Amino acid sequence: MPPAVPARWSWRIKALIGWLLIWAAAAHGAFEVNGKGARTAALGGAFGAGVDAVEGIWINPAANARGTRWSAGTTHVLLYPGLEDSPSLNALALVAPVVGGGLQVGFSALGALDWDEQVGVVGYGRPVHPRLALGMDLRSGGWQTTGLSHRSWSIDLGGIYEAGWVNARHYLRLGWMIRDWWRSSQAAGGQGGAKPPRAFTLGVGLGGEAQQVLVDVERRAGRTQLRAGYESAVLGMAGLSLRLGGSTLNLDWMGGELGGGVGYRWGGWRFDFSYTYPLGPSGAFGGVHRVSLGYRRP
Amino acid sequence: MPWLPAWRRRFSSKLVRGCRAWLVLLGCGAFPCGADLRTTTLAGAADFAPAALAEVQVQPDGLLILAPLAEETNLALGRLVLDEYGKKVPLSDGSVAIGGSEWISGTPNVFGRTFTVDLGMDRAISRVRVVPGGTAQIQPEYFIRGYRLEASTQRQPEKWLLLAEQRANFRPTVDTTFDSTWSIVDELGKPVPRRGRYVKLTLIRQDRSNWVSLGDIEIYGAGYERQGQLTGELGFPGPVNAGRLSWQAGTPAGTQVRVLVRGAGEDQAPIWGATRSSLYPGPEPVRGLEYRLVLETADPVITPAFGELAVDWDPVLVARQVLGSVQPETARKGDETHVVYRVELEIGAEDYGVELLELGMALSVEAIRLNGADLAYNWHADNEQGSTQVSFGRPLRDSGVLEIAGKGLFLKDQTAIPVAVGSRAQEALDGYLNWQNAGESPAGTWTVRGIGLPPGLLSEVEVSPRPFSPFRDERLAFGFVVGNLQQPTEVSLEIFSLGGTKVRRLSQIGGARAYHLEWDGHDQDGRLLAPGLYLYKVRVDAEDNAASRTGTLVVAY
Repeated sequence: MPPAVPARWSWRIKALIGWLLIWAAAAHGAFEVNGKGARTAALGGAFGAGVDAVEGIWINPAANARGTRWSAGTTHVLLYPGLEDSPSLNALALVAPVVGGGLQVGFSALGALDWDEQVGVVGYGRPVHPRLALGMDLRSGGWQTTGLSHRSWSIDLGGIYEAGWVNARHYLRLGWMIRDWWRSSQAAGGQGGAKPPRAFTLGVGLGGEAQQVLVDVERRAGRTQLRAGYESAVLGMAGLSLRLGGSTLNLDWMGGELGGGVGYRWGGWRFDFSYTYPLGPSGAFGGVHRVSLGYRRP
Repeated sequence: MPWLPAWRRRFSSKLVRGCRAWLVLLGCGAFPCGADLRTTTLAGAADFAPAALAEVQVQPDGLLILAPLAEETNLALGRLVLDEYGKKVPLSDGSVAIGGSEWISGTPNVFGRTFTVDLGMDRAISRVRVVPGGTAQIQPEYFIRGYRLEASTQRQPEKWLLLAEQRANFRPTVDTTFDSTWSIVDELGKPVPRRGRYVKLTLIRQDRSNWVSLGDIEIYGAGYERQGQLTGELGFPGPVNAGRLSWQAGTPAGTQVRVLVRGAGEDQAPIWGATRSSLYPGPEPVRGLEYRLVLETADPVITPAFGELAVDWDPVLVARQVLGSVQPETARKGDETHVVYRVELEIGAEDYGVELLELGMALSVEAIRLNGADLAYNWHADNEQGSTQVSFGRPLRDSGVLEIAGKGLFLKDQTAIPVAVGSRAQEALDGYLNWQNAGESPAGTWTVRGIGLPPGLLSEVEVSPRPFSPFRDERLAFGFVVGNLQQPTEVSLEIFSLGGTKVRRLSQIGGARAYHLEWDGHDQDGRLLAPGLYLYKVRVDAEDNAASRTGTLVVAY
């Protein structure tokens, strides 16, 4: 267990959290929707500082750097059921403890009328210090439509910093990611303008045994997205947890969404469900239900 | 000359354009001799004096303004008066008779009772008078002993400002002219008008020995009438093609001027008047015009001022007579229907001839025949404007019947399809295209009656091509039909990324018709969007109804 946060740091950490909260919001690009799991979605997408969860592979390459057990999970989504031709999304993820770190492998497939999209990701993360873990992944995204297809590549970087116990009950963890740090064009013609914009994300996780709060701030293509989520175990119902979360775009609720969900852990099995609803005009497309099933080897 | 009205008319020489010199030199050449656009300008007291005036007056400088309120105009007469319970009371009928037209408290407990007069709009209130009822005129002790008069504006109806107050009134009437408590007075001690729409009378003294009898509340104001109009006629030296109508007026904030016209002697509602410069929209040729100038103000102390009305007219016609009609006279709503539009042309040797034709509806033209023989033509339908323009290779100079066959979409109960004809030669001579509007043929009608159930507010949306490449196809087209819409409203298209971020919004204001919106693949900031699956939403917000359609689109390149 890392040591407690030094006293002289605490005000800096508080200031950082405050700054993250008031800093302006972000989301853009093809392959924008990937295999993000139900737990992440229920927390408003705030999982930058989330660790030791198989669905973290879609968020932070270092999320499973300290993973010590084999685990696997699947996610199934019907996007925007209000559409007449709603796309469906299915994903599979695997985490394996390998040479002092964690290997992450994931595959996500999105299918819609006249459009198919796949994302494959292979990443590795490992602790480089008792407090710090770093990770990197390689993503390959391919799309196909009538008469045209293309595959693009990108590299993401990430890290987790274990700040430690802020007080007797609360533990602080920070995460950072650079999504699409290196990337190729998503256009079949190779047009440079079709490169996905880089995304910089800072995540904060503050929690104890039964509850945690997660906040992410992501900056991409001149827009800032603020994401926040709260997770709590249900007292008296072992293994059951409830989640609430939401996001705003450029501090405008009309560009964000609200979400909630429930999770249940039974032995090595984990079942998660989430429902997210866009707050802005895209609410006309309907809310999104996600179902995830995971297993961790005891 | 018999066509001249009795009153004075001025043909402004600076606005009269004669035959072009080169035409004269060419002996009029290919164009009809005498092709000259003229302008009749009406301005000043002399021009407007013979017209019928109602609540307007002509200033010595020739400007037309709203008539100032007469000092003895009771603004409250006939207006609504409500008591504190919202119940109507008879205190603005101008009568003080015993019984039905007076208000009697029925109890001496009158403290705090109120009467609010709604003047309908903000007025400059200069005097308030409360007249005793018939009962109080016989027994003066039944009149109010203490009162407060207040006013509030339309914008802030709850903010009451004091006009006058008396806690011990022993006069037989309340009249603020003699009431020193009027809150704002000028240096001469004269009441300064208080702007307000609502005037409230509150009884602030309870006299246990008496009841209260009120007869009438009278409110007098300064400023101007709220609306006035002037109606007149002007004549032309024979049948002419009326052209551009323009007018000059000063319309400070809160005021407006509307100009309505129609052909002289026509038994139809006056038309036109929305803009300060546009073509005469009625059937032509005309021998004269009847005009109506309507001045309105929402501000009690400001009046619009009308300067002049100018009417272009051309004694040379495009055709002597043009009549339109359509077959069939009924169409099923929401279905594309084949129609044949007949245009009866009577063209004289001195006329320009028909080179252009405009139908007041978007039609997909399939064939045009003149007296049964096929004609060469070009056509363009404008869904947004709801019109179809046809041009012929050469001017039609012979009388006959044009038949225009095509397909159209009918959505309303009644769809009128007026027709107008034009001439490039006229446009070249006069500097603008002066359409000659046709009349409806007595042998038929140009109105198609829609039958069947109205289509839904918004049809399915056709998106093509799919996938869309901004490099190959340049534009992604969204086609849909808005039906069952009574008033023009906003029709919007929004495009979202799959993550729900809005990337582009397009909109049009329009009525029930087919819509065709195009998107170039760029976001709101002009950046080309990356390949991917995107979402769209088409939305129509009618007054009492709304509809939207959603779907996906594919950008690939």
